[in-house]
Amino acid sequence: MPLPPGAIQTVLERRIAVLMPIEDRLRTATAHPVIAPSDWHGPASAAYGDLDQRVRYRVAGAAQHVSAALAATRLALAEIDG
Amino acid sequence: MGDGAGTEPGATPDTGGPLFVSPAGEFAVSTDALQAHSDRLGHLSDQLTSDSRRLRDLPHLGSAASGATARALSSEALLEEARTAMAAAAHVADRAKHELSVAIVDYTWAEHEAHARALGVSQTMTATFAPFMKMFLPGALLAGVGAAAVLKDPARQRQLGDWLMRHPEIYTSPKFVEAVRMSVMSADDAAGGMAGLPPGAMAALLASAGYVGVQGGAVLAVEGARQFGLLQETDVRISTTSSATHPATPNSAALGVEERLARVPEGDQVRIEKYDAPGAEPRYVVYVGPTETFSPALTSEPWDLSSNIGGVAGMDSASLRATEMAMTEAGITADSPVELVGFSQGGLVAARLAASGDWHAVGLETHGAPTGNIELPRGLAGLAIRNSDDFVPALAGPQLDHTLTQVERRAFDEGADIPTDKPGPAHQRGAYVATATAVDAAQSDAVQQQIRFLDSFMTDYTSQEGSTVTVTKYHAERVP
Repeated sequence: MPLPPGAIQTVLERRIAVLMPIEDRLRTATAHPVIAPSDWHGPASAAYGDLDQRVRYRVAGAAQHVSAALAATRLALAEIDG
Repeated sequence: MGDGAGTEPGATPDTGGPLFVSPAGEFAVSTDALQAHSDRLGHLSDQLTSDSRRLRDLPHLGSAASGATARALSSEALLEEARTAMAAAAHVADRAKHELSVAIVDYTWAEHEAHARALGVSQTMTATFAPFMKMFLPGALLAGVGAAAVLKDPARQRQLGDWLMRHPEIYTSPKFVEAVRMSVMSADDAAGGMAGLPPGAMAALLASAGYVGVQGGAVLAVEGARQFGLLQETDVRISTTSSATHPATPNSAALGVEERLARVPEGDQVRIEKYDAPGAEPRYVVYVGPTETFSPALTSEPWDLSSNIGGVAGMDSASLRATEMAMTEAGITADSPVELVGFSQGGLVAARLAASGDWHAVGLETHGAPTGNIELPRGLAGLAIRNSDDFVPALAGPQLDHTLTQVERRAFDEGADIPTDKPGPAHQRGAYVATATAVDAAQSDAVQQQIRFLDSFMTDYTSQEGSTVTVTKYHAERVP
């Protein structure tokens, strides 16, 4: 069913309003990743290192996806605005 | 023991080791940095989950039938990919936090089991060899009498103090502290073995009289010393040395651990701050000072060795009675909200007051206090701060109570220069000022939440228009 005129624009504007602060938070988290303490040593620390890397990788990946979604939403809105 | 406020050379936040934290109500111990790392992972996971849900709850465009362009529909697909990626990242962060908690608990249990094994060996050896020590009992008694005579002489006390000051490395280490802890835990078995009792019999005998764990050994020490005229107990009297009321200002409340420690008095042993706000019941902060003399012989000073050992034993002590008299004099009733702060013996007194049930204690902060065997009431907020190379807290045995958040670090880390100008450098006020600075700078939620609670007990009132603060100092003396 077709949406009323202006409804698609409202949906896209709402998405941008929600995505922008999320992108900011993820950029901050990627720029300053959760760093494991350097005074922790031993087997448990070594085993945990791999998991720590995975956290960083996943957060960076989420940041890229959010940026891509935000850019695509902006383009879609620009298309409607003409 | 005290050397006045200020950080002395060799005892700065930098020369100490990392902070170790055991959050309130928990058994696990880890560094403050590791706790803070775990906190940040938790915050990250929560934030990712929350943001992922916000994306999920956004309105959908549906299909091309909605009139949406191909580009708009494509952005919707990317939005769903972003939501999935965020949910996955939240899951990995949450798993990392969980794995970290498991590692912390595993480490703590390994430490605990090693400690329990060492204690078991110590107690077995004590019980096994103590009967043979009976052969040496006459000699030991003679040595005890001789030592008592020597310690009654102030000149000899100074000589002993000088020698100990020149060799701080002997007793300023976590290993020595652990040895002290083991010794006090085995004291009742040693005494029982020498008396010819089977292992555990003396502990059972003392427990039947209400003295459990290290209390038993401390009771035996007090009762034994009293046979030689030492560690005597007396009545006590107090006097008000100063009292003043001022309108509350932002500087009226002690904010943070270091500022509270700075207000712990010396000379006049008790300082009480009364916070009044319009229409609210008064709140009180009671600061209790450290030991003033280590003389085992009777003087006019109630904050002495007798109150120290008697306090650990859970016996009646002059410093405890004097503080209660000052609290009553200040107008504190059983229902008045009270925050207690103490250093060394002052911390011991503060903890016993909180545990007594006679006062409405809502917060407690102790610095270098032998309080590990005191069972505190549930719900009490605060911090128990210790230097792990300070043997004084170990005189109460292992840390059995976990009501407060426990914070510990070495005052002098491996390789740091240990000062020789004062005895017991890791127990000096300067060393605890340095540790307090490190605690204030802690990054973990476990520590910062407690600091904020203790601060707000005062700032809730001082931030109000028309609030006042009354500061009163008390001096106590023994009455022979």
